[in-house]
Amino acid sequence: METVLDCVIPYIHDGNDLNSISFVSRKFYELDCITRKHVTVHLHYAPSPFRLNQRFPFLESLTLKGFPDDFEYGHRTADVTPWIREIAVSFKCLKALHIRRLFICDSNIELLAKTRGNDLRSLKIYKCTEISENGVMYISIYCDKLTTLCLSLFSFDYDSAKWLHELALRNTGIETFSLEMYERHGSYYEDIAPLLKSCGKSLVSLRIKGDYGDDTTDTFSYAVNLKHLFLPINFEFNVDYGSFKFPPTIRCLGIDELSETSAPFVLPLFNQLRELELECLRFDDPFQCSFLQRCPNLEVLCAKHVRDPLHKGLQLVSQFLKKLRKLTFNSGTPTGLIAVAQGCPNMENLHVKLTDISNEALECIGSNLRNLSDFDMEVGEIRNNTTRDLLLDNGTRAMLVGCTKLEKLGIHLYATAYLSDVGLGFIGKYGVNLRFLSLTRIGESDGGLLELSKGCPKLRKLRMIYCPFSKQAVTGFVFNIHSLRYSWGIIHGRTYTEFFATRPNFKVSTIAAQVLTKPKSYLTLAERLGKLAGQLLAGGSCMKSAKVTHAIGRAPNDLDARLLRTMVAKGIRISEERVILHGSSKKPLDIIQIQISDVESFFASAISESRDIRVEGKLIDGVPHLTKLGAFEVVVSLIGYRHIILCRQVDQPARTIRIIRSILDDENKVYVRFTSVGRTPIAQQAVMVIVVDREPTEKALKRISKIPAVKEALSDWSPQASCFDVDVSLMFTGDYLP
Amino acid sequence: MSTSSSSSKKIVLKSADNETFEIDEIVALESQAIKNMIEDECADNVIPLGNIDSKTLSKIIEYCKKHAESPKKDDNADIDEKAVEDLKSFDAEFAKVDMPLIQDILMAANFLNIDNLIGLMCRTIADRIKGKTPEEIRKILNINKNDLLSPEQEAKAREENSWAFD
Repeated sequence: METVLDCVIPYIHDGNDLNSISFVSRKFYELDCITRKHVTVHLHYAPSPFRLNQRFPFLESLTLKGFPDDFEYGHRTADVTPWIREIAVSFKCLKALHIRRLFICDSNIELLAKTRGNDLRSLKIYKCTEISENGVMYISIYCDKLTTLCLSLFSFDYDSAKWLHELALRNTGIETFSLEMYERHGSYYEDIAPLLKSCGKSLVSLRIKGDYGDDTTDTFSYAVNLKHLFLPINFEFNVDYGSFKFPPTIRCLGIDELSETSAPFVLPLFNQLRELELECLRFDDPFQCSFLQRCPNLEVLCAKHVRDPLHKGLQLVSQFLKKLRKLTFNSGTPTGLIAVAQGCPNMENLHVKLTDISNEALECIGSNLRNLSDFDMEVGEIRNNTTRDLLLDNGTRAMLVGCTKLEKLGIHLYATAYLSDVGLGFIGKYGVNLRFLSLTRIGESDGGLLELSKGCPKLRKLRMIYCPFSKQAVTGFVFNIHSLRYSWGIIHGRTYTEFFATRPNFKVSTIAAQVLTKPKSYLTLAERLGKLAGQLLAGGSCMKSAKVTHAIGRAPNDLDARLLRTMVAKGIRISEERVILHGSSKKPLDIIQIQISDVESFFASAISESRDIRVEGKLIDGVPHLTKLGAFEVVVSLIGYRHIILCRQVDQPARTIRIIRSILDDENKVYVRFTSVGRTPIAQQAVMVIVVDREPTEKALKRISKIPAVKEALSDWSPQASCFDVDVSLMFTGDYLP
Repeated sequence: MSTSSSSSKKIVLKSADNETFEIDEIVALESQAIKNMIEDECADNVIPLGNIDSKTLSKIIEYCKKHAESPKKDDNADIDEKAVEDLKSFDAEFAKVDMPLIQDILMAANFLNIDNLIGLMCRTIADRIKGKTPEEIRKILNINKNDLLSPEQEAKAREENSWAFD
């Protein structure tokens, strides 16, 4: 029997199966202990590193994970030090170490590199903090046999990228290299070049995030085996790219956009491309459409932003790209979804944002996409306060029954569709393989959550946003799901509650329990908007007059008191206040509009066509949201978040947000929690509202001002700044949390 | 075999229960172990396989014949897909036997060193174990219940397993 098992074990890759095997018998247990090659430790369950080594002494690969990505609670406390100390002296077979979302500092890296640098073939450090250039230098000096190196999130001064040169001196066999490093504007590629030369033969995959610059060299001619290349490069009109060329071996390509200027570089690749990753994809550009049409072998298409005015994008994709396995596409209709379900039978991973949804579309997915393992759909815009009259229960059931391999599911319903408690029960009953479930505006009552918790036997993470469940329900029965490790989100029974819950103590930690009854949240809305309008105002020395319009479903009753106070403080006088009362008190619109006439603003986009500063807010599900800024429609919750950054640019938000995000993150761990992009009807203009969790430092602002396109905009905060490509104003609207 | 000429060399295998099987040398060469014997010139007469019964051996010969007939991948880069498909469906059919026989075949294939067959049998067993509980696995593999973990050991392992997966 042992021989049989000896032979079979290498063929079992699923950790759950190995775990089951370990219980079968004593011999199986022992065999599993000495044959297990890889373990993922979810730190929160904190086994002792010593014990892990004792049980699995021959581990070759170890992954250490902190909290889930947007699980905001306490992720900075997850310290990797005990692990690094143990790894320094044991785990003798370890060749691969992968650390994600843990607190890691230079001394950790130093110890790791000095003790295990010779052994490590693969080192990945993602979303970790507190590493400086000194820390990375230890990797460069002591790790000389790397085949994989992936690093992200540094917070060091980039004046020197010496470590990259050191790395290239000592390593000649790197196959996979991924780096998120941001501020070597314009010359980043020069620091990568030595690596491309020294590892030219071995390098298969290269992924760079940050500002890469306009590479005009022939650096990539050294990378003769490069198959995967992801570069933040945007081929500009006015730049001569000299001898730059993508290697002919490329199979997977990521660039900013398939603009026409990129044609000479990307066209030679069309027939061989398997993967295409884009920041932005435009269906109103004939070149981009025709390029997709010429890539019949494409298996992966990721487009973070999609401009698709006619809503034909999904149909075209399903028509051109029959072999797709993975699609991320932020625009579409139910018809488009049906086209994809019927046209791309190999689909495994589908993330879409739709204007609307239908049961028919979900049923179609269920009956066609048998291999679907990851499905995420966002339906409608948060600002649509339409009646919710389309029940999705049956479609959801049909989808789950059909897609038996589904492991990750996200359903976010903002528009007319809804899922009842019965529908939640279906997810529980048929979601037998679900591991991650993310729900937004789903369910009707605690009963739904109870139904859900009776099923989903493999669920590990449950995220719920704006779901109508009580704290008692979350504490009471969510963790009836034995496999569940984390649950977090915002729930609302009588009040809105942000919660983060982990299994070990079965305890829900309530971080921001806030009572948001309607009148109060309306006042909050008024206050936030007033403050925002005040901060938008340039000059501020002379008295300005403002016009405020309320559209609400009941009599105002001293409604304006706060608004008035905050605005007067900024030198604004309310000259006119209108209250529009709506007949129906059941569905009040709850809109506030503030106009300040004849003024200049720090943020030129806040000025509407009629030369007013104009901001508009609305209660959505009882939560104050900013919905309009000047002529731009945006959707940003004003509760639960602390600060907002506004940014206007020519409509290519991807590159800018990427740089800003990295700077904020690097500088003092300011996390971008949400962005909303509003566009003018005429293209080329977009305003972005970026919600961050705390106030960026002075230094972060300085560094943002170093982004070439932004520099002048910030130097003099004048309205003229908007005539530059990118115009960033920073807006800190104070503490939102009561 | 239709293609084999009378001049092709024959190899005789003898099972544990003394049944003999005469096969073409090319079929026998699928087994790395027999290949080594032939190369070392110690396969002149009958090759006794004292640990493989005739039922298992005949299955293995069936497998080796089919695979010996099929064109090898290295020979021809653009080998026609039909042959590949054909071999695939043969393998799938071949693996549709009960667990004891699968285990016997695996042990024998391991002894005879037939890589493809080892792989096929291992995948089959792995597929049958996939997603099963320990109790089900015990049944599938017919594990002796005298060798179970103690309740304490199992509880400890269970707790540890909650972090040790993926």
